[in-house]
Amino acid sequence: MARPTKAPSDHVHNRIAVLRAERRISRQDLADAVGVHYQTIGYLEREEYSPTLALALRIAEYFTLPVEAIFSTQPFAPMSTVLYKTPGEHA
Amino acid sequence: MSPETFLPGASTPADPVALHADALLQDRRLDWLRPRARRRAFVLATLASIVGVTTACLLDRSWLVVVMLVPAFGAWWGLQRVVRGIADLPDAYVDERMRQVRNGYYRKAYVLLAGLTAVVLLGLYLAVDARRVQLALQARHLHALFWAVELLALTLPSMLVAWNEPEV
Repeated sequence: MARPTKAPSDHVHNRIAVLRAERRISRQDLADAVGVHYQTIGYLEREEYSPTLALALRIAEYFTLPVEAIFSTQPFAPMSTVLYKTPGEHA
Repeated sequence: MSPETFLPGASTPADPVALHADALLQDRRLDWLRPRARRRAFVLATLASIVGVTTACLLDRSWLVVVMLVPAFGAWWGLQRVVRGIADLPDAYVDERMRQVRNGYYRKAYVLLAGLTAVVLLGLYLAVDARRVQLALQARHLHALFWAVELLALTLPSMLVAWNEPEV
C-alpha cells in the first residue's frame, strides 16, 4: 500500500468568518448551533483546523448554503473581487 | 460526534461528568493563566514539582514526599483546568478538533515517556556495566522512579497541550 501523503489540497479554505460577520452571529452562537467549542470556530476561521465532513455539513446547514459555497480546497477570491468582477470573468 | 453530545450547558444535574466538562470548557476564571507564556511557566512549575517529589523520595524522607506530592497533584489539577481538560475529558465531552489535538499529544507523550524511561534505564545499565556506579537498589530509588513515571504519565499530555497549543 502506498504511503498516504498530505497533499497541499488537503488544506480546506472556508468563508465562515465572512458569513458570521455578515449575519452578525457570535462564535459562541455558531459553536452552540453546530455542537463544537467556541474556540474551534476560531481555529476554523483561521484555517488552522480542517473540519470533518459531518461538521462541514452541519455548518452549511446552519447557514443554509451548499457546502461548496463555504468550503473549498482552493483559496476563495476576496468578496470584493467576487462582487465587482467584470462580466465574463470567473471568481 | 453529534451536536447532542457537545452542547455547553446541555448537561443534566444527574450527569456530574457533563457538569464538570461544562465547567472546564466554559471556564473564564483562569483566562489570566491561559496566555502561552503563562501556560509555559505553569508547565515548568509542574516539572519542578515532579523533580521535588523525586528528590524527596531519594532523600528517603516520607513526610517530605507527602508534602511534595501536594503541589505536584495541585499542579496536575491546575493544568487540567488551564487546558480545559482537553487531555482528560471523556470523548463525548470534547469536540472533534479537541479529540484530534488530544490524540496527537497522547502519541507524543507516550513516545516521550517511553523514550525517557528507556534512556534513563539504559544509561544506568551502561554505567553499572562499566563499573562506574555501584547499583545497590533500595526502596527509595524505586519510589523515586515510580513517582517520576506516575506523575509524568498523568501530566505529560496536558503539559504538551499547554506548551504547544496557540490557544486554549
